[in-house]
Amino acid sequence: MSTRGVFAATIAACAAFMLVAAAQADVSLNAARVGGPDVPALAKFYASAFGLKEVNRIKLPGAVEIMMNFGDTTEAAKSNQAAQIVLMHRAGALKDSVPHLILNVSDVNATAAAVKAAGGTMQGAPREFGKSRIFIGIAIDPAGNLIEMIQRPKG
Amino acid sequence: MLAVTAQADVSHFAARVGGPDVPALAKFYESAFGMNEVSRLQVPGVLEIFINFGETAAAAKANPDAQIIIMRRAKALEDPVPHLIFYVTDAKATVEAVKAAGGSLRGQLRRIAQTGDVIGVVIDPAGNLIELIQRPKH
Repeated sequence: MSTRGVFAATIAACAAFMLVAAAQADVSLNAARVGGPDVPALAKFYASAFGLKEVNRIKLPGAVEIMMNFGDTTEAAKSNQAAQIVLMHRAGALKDSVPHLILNVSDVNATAAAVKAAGGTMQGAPREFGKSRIFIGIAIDPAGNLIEMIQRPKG
Repeated sequence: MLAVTAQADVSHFAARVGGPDVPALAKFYESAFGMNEVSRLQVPGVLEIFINFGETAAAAKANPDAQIIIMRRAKALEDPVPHLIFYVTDAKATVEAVKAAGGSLRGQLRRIAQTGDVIGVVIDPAGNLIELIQRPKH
């Protein structure tokens, strides 16, 4: 390759790197999403079990997506800049063992009780992770999605 | 009262995806989206890698936003739900970065006429779907 060719190739490589770097620099987490056959019912579960509030809703022919976030009031949830939780329609049964949502909770037993009262179940009782004083529980929403709950030591 | 107490103290810590090769999947997210490892949980039989956005590892560690956790999942994914949704400023550039890192684009990027958003779904090497949303520039 000529010197000019090498120069051109170097410039192209740098441009490609800059393109990738530019993409990397401007990506952020908007939300985590789970699915279920009855989206409004699933939203009610998340509101009742975890106190999430609906902050937005997209209606498309034959489908609805509900965006939720934490906040004491709907207004507070709407102004919450943290990543949302989005619920979408999924017709088929879930075949995934990964808990896609991970929530910090201050009282895992109380939240587990709230999950059950809202129509969910627990995958066993919450238990301590080793001797870390961190307690972890796995909840299952009515659509079968797994939700990990983490209670960290106080203080 | 119990439920109210629980509700008041719940927050979003992270979103999780899985794949057969956790370190390789973490490298994909680092390369495609500029994420950095912030911690790792390694006990016998378990490896989880925690990653977040930030130009450096230190910046990612200081990022208070929800993390992404990568865990091992042996089985192939059979779930049509994109569990991660990313905001991007240049969807085409991000798709190129995804492809360069070993991922792919499902279909094409498309513009939503009503909002001006550009939306696409990319697939990581483990089969997890990730939705990309590019907001219109004002």
